Amino acid sequence: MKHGKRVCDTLKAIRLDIAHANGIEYAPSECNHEGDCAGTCPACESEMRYLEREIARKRALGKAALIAGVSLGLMSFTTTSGDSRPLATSDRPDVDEDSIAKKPLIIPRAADDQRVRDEVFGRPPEPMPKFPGGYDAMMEYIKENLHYPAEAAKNQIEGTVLVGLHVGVDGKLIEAIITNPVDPNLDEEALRICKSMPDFEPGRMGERSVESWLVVPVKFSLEEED
Amino acid sequence: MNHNLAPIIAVARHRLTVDGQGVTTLVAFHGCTLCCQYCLNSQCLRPEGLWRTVTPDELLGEVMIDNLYFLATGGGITFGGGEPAIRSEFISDFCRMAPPEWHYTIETALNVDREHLERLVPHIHEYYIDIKDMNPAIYRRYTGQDNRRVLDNLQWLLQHDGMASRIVVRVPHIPDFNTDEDVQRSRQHLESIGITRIDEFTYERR
Repeated sequence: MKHGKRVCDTLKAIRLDIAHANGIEYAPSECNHEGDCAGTCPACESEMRYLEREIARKRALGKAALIAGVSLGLMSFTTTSGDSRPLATSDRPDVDEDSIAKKPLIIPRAADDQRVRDEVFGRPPEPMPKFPGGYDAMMEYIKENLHYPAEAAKNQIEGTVLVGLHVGVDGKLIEAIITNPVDPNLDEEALRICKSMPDFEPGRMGERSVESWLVVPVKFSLEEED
Repeated sequence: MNHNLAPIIAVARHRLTVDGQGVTTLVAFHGCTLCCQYCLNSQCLRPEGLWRTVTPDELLGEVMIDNLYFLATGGGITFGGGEPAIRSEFISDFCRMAPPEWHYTIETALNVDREHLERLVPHIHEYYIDIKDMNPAIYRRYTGQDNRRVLDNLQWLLQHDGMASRIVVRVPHIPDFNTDEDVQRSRQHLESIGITRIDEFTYERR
């Protein structure tokens, strides 16, 4: 069974548990969709909104609702990676569009599906651009050329500034930007030192040079300055 | 940094048992204190990887859609990234607004200033900590950073009553960077300081 279908079945079972625990009449609709899905769809969302309304109605009538832990025993589901694309609304022609909550956030699972991540975020070239002599040489360059800003040193400000370097197919720096700012003085020095670096070996896709990004950590430590 | 706004790279719903108990929604933040060679979510470091910025109440409004699933299964929100701990002000604001019955999990490398953990500890139920390798030289080669802060933070967390049962330390086999012996040494070190839940796994080369 595909991943999305398993998620859908699990969520459906949870809805049934909630309905049974609260005496709510509920019969999940039959799913005629073929192939895998995101694990939810407008019809499934609509069913959950129905349960929420019924529970709110019970509470408004002064009755207690039982929800916490009703499906604790259900969670023996083991996930596998899979496509999490949202199901097209046209696959469920009987859905009441007015009762559907605002479009849910359905984002491909960035953490565990390489194919989906590559389609969404772009496949990074391999390898990334290289400083001449490699990573250790780059760290040595930073260490040798770093000027600790006086204002930051006076105020005991330390930290690691991450600088994103956009490197062209010729290895030349197109752009350098701060991706993780720490302090304006440290940020400025981190940018300066990265912009002063020699040309890189460009990133490659097979035999082809490509534009690519590299993130460089520029560490400011007063302990190392002493 | 405006703690009322946080940059995120993804919000992933309906995760079942991979990020903590029950049904969870993963909120992945942009930005990290490390620069790991095989980063799983490298878009968290790239400027174009930023999806959007949200306030705590905007995020709450969006994830509330799965409230009944969270309550029914003991699930809730998992904060990941990137390094979510650097968004500690945002996360603590969010947790204060959100239903107290939700379960909050954080996936962190723990290489952050102590003040972030001090903000997070009152709210986080479970910690998944990826320590890379306990050997400082291996750690630096792989991440570009020093791991002293990780060890200090881990020992500080363990000083809290009952914390050991709420921490899972992930110890990776990192191709080209550490060996099976290195991983076993990391495990032994962690066990010696009181870590009881260890998850050993293997990184993919990228």
